[in-house]
Amino acid sequence: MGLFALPGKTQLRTKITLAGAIPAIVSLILAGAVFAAMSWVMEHREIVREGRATAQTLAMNVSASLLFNDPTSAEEMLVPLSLSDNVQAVVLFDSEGNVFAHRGNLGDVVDYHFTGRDGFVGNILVSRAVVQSGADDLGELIVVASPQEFYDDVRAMLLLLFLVTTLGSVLAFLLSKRLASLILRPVGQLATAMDRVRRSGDLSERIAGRKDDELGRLIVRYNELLDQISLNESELQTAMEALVVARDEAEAANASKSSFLANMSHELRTPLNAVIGYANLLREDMADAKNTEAVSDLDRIEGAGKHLLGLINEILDLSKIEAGGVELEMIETDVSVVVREAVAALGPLGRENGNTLSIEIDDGLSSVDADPTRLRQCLLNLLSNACKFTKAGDVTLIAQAQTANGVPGISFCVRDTGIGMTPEQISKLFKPFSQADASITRQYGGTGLGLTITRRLMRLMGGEVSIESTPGKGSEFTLWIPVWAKAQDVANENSAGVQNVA
Amino acid sequence: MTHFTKKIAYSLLSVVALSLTPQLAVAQKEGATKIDRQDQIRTAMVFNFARFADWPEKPTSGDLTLCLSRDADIAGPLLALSGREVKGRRLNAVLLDNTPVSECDLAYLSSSDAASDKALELLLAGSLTISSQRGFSDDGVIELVRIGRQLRFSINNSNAKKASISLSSKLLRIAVEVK
Repeated sequence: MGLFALPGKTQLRTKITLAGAIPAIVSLILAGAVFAAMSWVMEHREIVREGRATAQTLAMNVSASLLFNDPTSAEEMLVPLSLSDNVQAVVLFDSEGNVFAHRGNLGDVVDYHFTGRDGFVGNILVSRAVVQSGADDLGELIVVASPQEFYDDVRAMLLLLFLVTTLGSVLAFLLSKRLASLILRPVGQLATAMDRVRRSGDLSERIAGRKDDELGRLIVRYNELLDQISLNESELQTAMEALVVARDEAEAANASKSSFLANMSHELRTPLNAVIGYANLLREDMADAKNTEAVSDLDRIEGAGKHLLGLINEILDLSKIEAGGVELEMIETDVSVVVREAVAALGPLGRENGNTLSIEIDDGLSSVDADPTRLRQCLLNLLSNACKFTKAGDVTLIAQAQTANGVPGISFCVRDTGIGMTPEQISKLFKPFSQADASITRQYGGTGLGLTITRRLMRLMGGEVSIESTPGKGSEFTLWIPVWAKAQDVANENSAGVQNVA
Repeated sequence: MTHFTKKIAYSLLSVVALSLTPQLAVAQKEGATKIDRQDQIRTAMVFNFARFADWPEKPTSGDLTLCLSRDADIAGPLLALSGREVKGRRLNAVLLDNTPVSECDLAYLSSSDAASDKALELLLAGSLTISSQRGFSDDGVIELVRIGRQLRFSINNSNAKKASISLSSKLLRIAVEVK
């Protein structure tokens, strides 16, 4: 892999160019090298054979000279060959190894004769032939040549091969580059088109391209993708417009509902107060007249009226909160004061079911930033619920410092030993107008708005409500309000705190 | 070479030859151990001529017969060549007296035989005639000649053709003279 590792940044164009060119260039070089080697070997063999043939021809002709001991005639026969440009020396040895006749530079020829070397000795071509007559060896002929032409030819051939290989490589590279451009043209078109679409945002633009190869299909897919995106976008646009209309309608409806409820609650309270007031007056009159039957009837009327008033007040509260009409008065509030006021406000209801009401306040708890009225309302709500669902048990209000998700705060825990709730009941708890069970409404009364209002108020104050409960054993409702170390953090972390607790 | 000088040389050579002959005969009788260097070369030359000659009209197998004048200067060494191989054939050196001329493939003639009709007879019988006799190249095929200290030969190729003998161009090339 190492050989073919390209830097990661290498362009696809370069890669394709190299993929095309490198095998071609390698093949060229390989073919050139093999051709050169083969030519060299064959030429070499040929020239050695030629030299040997020449020597043998001459050897046949000088046999008579050797036999008749005629060096002069032998030398005459050596002359034509020795005149050849390449031939350095031609030497005829007799059977005893003595130089019988020679032409040219005698030099090292005697050595060649005795070493018995044949063919190329370095750059020198030594050709030898035995002079024979019948079966008799008469001597030996040695031709020493420096085949300059051969080397010139080889050099010329190598140069030509080099030129052809180089030219071929350049051609292969250029062709490969051209091919890479042709192959990659659709990719370029695609990139340009994508860039145009990205800048203009005009999804209607399409690329005209071939459809017969992979890149052609890529372009077709891209066009199809644009179609799909356009379609999806228009569908989304339609859906979003519908949603905006629906949202506006819903908001308008909710606002008018809240406004209506707020108005209606007010309108309802006025006559109801009159009913309660006059029922009270009448009951006192009847009490004076000792009409006990009427007194108890009027008690019922007053009670029912007060219940109805409570309901109306709660509905009004919820409506205000939902309509965003509640403004909290966040001031430094004394924890123990709020707790005691809440327990006191609970009044006789606390002891109605034979419950024992107790308060535990941690030492060192002093004050908290809260709307005291609303905090008291929330505590009262939880306490009344606890007393309502507990018979001959204990209801305890515990106030203590508690850190939730890294935020310091104070928790108000209302613990009872009442009927408790199942997880399923708990999950329905904070839905408006919902009590744990429809039957509960009949048995215990109440509007089912208390906890909803409590949670909304707590969240407005940056706090939270949590519940733990075991059916038959009791419930534990906990209010938690953050204590902000610095005033400016309130605004910043209010929402964050709420999110974390929720 | 003028006729006169030729004649003088001839007579001189004859004298030398005549004077040498008894010595050779003595030498032969003593076991052919002491042979003159020139005679050695001469003998080798005669033997080598056989290598470069072809007798197209004679059988190419069997012995190659070399006939000698009994009184030839190198009769002894030539007789000793018997049994040597030439061109795959055995050389058989015999005396001319005991052999029909038709059987002689080669013939080395003494001065006296060279000058006689015997030379022509042999030539016409297809024999390659050789002699050291001066002027033999006029009547025979090969004449051994001395040039300075070198022993060489001249060839009468037209006589060779008359005898239906084909001499190698290699031989012709190194001859001193080819007629």
